[in-house]
Amino acid sequence: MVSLSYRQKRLLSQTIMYAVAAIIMIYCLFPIAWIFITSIKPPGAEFHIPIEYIPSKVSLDNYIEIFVEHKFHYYLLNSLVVASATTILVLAIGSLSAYAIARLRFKFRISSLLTILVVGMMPSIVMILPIFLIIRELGLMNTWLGLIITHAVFSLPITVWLLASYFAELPFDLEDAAKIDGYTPSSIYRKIIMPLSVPGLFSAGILAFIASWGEFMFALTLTHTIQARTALVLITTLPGAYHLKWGMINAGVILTLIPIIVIVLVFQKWVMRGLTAGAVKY
Amino acid sequence: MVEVRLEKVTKTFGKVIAVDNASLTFEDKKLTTVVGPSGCGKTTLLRMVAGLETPTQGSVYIGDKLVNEVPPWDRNVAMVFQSYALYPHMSVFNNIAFPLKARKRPREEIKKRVTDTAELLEVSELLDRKPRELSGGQMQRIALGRAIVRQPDVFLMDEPLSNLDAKLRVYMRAEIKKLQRLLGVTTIYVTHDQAEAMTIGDTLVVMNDGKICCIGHPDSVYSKPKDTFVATFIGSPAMNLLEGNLESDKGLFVTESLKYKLPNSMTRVTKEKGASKLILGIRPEDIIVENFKANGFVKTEVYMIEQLGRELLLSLKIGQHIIKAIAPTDIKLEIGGVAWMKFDETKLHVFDGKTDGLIV
Amino acid sequence: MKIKLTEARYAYLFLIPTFLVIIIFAFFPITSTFWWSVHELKDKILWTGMPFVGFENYAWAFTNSQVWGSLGYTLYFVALSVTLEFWIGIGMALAMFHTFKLKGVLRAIVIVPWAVPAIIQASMWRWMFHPNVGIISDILVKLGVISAPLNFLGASLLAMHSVILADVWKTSSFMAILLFAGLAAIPQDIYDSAKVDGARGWFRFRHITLPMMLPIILVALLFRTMDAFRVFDLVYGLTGGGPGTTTEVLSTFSYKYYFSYHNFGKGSALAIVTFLILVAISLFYIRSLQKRLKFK
Ligand SMILES: Nc1ncnc2c1ncn2[C@@H]1O[C@H](COP(=O)(O)OP(=O)(O)OP(=O)(O)O)[C@@H](O)[C@H]1O
Ligand SMILES: [Mg+2]
Repeated sequence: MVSLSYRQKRLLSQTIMYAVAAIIMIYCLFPIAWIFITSIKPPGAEFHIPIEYIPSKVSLDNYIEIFVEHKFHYYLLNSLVVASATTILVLAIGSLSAYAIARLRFKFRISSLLTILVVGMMPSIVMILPIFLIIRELGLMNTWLGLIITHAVFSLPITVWLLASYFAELPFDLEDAAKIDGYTPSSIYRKIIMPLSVPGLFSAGILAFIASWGEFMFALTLTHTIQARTALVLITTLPGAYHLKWGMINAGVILTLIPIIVIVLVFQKWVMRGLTAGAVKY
Repeated sequence: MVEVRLEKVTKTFGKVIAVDNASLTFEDKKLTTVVGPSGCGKTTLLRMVAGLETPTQGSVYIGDKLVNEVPPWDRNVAMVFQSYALYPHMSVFNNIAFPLKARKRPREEIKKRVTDTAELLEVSELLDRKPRELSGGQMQRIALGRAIVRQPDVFLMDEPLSNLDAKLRVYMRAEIKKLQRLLGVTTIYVTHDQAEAMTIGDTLVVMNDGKICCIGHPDSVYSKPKDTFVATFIGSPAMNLLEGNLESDKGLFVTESLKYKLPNSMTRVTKEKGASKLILGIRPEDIIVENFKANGFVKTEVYMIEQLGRELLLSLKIGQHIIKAIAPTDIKLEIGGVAWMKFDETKLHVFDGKTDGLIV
Repeated sequence: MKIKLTEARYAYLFLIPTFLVIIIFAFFPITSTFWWSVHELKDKILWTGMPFVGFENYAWAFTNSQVWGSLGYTLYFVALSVTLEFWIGIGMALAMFHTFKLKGVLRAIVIVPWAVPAIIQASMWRWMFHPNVGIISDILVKLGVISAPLNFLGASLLAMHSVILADVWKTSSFMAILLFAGLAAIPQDIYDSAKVDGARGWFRFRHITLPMMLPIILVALLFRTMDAFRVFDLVYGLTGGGPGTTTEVLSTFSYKYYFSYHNFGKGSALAIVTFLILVAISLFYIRSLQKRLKFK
C-alpha cells in the first residue's frame, strides 16, 4: 500500500467523482443520443454494416417521411390536445377535492383521501376491459374526449395527493381571517388558495401532462385512427412488412421526446418538487 | 500541549470574505470565547479549526501540526453545534458512543466511557431514549456528552446555549465552565451574547466583519476597549458615544449642544496624538444622576425611564444627544422632567474621531 | 334565496366531481372485472350468455403453468429491477450530491430518462438491442466481450435480463431523483457533526446517511415495486412477452387473454390476481413504513 497524503487523497476522490459524473451523463444520455444519430442518417443507412457512429451523411429524410407519409403532425396534435386537456381537467377537479381534504373539516376526510389514493394503486390492466366497454357504450371510441377522461382517472390520485400536501402547508391564518371577513369556502378557494398555489398547481400539472403524453395502454386500446391516436402509439404500431423502417421510427421517437424533455429541463425545479412532495420530510 | 494557532487565515465564499486575515492563538487549557455580531465570521472560524472548511489562505495549527489538509475525522477535535445535531435515529447511548464507535474502540471500553460520561453529566437515566424524547436542556447535555466522551484535544462550541431559555442558559454556562476546568481541554466558545462571552471566557476575542478586533482578558477588553466598535459591542446597555471637537487651549470637548471640560491629563495625551475630532465614550453605569442641581452637574431632560429590575435605565436628553444612564430605583424622576448628571472622569474614554481607535 | 352551506357540505360538494370520475371509471370497472372473473366469458359468448363459474377461472390461474411462469418472471423482474435501480439510483444521487460544481448539470441530466415514456423507451432499446445492427452488440464486440452480435431479445434467458436492463435505465433515474431529495433533506449539521466525531466515508454512509434516509428509501421502494409489478408498456413494446412466453408479465398476459384470445373471464381473473398482489405488497410496505417512521 502506498500511503497518500491528504492532498493526494482529496485529488483522487475528486477525480473519481468527476469520472463518475461523466459515466452518469453517458448512461443517461447515450440511448437518446444514439436514437438521434440513427434518425438523421439517410433512410436505409441505419442498417449499414459496419455501424456508423458518426453519420457520414446527414439527412432529414426520415423526418420528412414520417410527416409526409404518416401525417405525424396530426398524431402529435392528438397527443398535445389530450395531454393538455387532461392536465386542465385533473387540475380543475383535483384541486377542488384537494382543497376540501386539506383545509375543510368534515367527517370523511381521511377516508376520502385513502379512497382516492387506492385508485392510484390499481393497475391499468384491471380496468382496461370495462373502461373499453364504457367508452364504447358512450360512443367515445376513437375520440379525444374518451382518452382525456381515462387519462384523468389515472392522474387524479397523484394530483389530489400533491395538491393536498401543498395546500396543507399554507398558513391557516389567512383562511381564518377570510372566514371572519365573511368569505365562504368557495370564495376562499378562488381568491386565496388558488392564487397562492400557483407553484403547486404547476408541479402537479406538469406531472399530469407528462403522464398523459406517455400513456400507452389506453391510447392503444381506445383509439384506432389519425382522428385520436397519439404520437407514441403510432410509432409503436408503424407497419413493417419484413423489417421496420427504424430510421423513421427513431425520427418519430425524437419528435415525441422533444416536448417532454424540454418541459422537464425548463421546469426541472417543479418536476423535482412534484416527484418528491410528501415523500421527503423531516 | 494543545494550543490552536491561526496564521493569516482568510476564508472567502465567492465574493463574501467570511474571515479576513485572522491571526491568533487559542491558548492551551484555556477557554476562549469568540464574540461578534451576526455574520461576522465566528462560525466560519470555528469550522476551519474543525476541518469542515478549508482556509482560502493561511494556516491552521493544532498543537504544532499544520492541519490545513487534515480532514475533520483525523483531527481529534470535538464540536458542539448550535442545533445540537444529535443523530435522530440513535438512542442517547449510541449518540454519545458514536465518536468511539467511529474510532473502533472495543465494546467494553465504549460502554464504560459512555456510562461515566453520562454520570458526569447526570443524564444516566436518559441513555435509552431517542433525541426527540428529550427537552432542550437534556439535548444540550447529550451534545456535550458526545463531545467529551472521547477526550479530544480541542472543544469547539458554536453558540451551544442559544436555544435554551434564559435561566437554563445561565445555569449551563456555569456547568460548561466547570466542566472545562475539570477536563482542562483547550476550548473555543463562539457566542453572539457578549455577557456570556464575558462571564465564561478566560480570554475574549472580538470579531467584526471577518476581522479579529481585539484579544484580551474580558475585564481589560471591557475597561480598555480598543475602538468604538468594541466599546459599544461589549457591555450592555452599550457605551454612550458623543462626537465632537477638542478646543485644545481650554481643554473643552465641544459638540453642537454640549461643552464638557476634559480632565487635563486626557487633554494632554489627546494633544500629543494630534487629534482634534474626537469621540467621547462613557458607560451608562459611569454616569451619576441626581434630581437636584449639584456642583459640576449638567442639566438634562428625562426622555424615557425603563425599569431593569435592580436599577433604572434613563434616557437623558441634552440638545440632540440622548445619553443612557443607570440610576438607582429610588431616585425620583419623571418623564419630561429635569435631571442632573455628571460623568465619572476616571471612567471616560476618548476615541479618535477619524480612526475610531482609543486614545485614552 | 341563497342556501347556506356548512363547511362539511362545501367539502362534499367539492369532492363530487372527483368521486363521480373515480366511481364511474375506477370502482365500477374494477367491480365489473371482478364480476367477469367469476363468469365464463369466451370470445363471442357475450350475447350467448355468460354462465357463472364461481372461482373456476382462479382455479385455472393457479394450476396453469404459464400463469405461474408469468408470475415467476414478474416477481423476478420486480426483484432484480428494483434492486439494481436502487443501487444505481443511490450511486447517482450521491454523485449528484457530491460533485458540487456539476450539481446543476447532473440534476438536469439525471431527470431525462425518467421523462421518457415507457413505450418510447421500449422502442429505443429495441433498436439498440437489434440483432444485426444493435449498438450494444456492436460495442460489446468492439470491446472483445463477445465475438459476434447477440440477439438480445431472441433467446429466453438473455431476453429476460435485457428487459430488466432497459427498465433499470429509466427507473434508476426516478430513484436517483427521490434519493437525492432525501439526501438533501438531511441537515448539514448532522453530517458535519459526524465528520468531527471521526466518522469517515463508508462508516458515515452506513451509520448516518442510510438510516437518516430510510423513510424516503422505503417510499421510493414502495413506488417502484408497485410500478414494476404493473409493468406493461415496456414488455409489450420490447418483446411482446416473447420469445415464447419467457418475458410475459402478468399485465401483458392478461392483455393477451382480453384482446388476442378474447377470453375475458380468464383475463379478468389474472388482472384481479395482479391487483390483489399489489395490495398485499403495499400493505407490507406501509406497515414497515409506520414502524420505521416512529423516530420522526
Ligand atoms: N457556506 C457558505 N457559503 C457562502 N457564504 C457563507 C457560507 N458560510 C458562511 N457564509 C457567509 O460568511 C459570513 C460569515 O458567516 P458565519 O456563519 O461565519 O457568521 P457568524 O459570525 O457565525 O454569524 P451568526 O452569529 O449569525 O452565526 C456571512 O456573511 C455568511 O453569509
Ligand atoms: Mg454562526
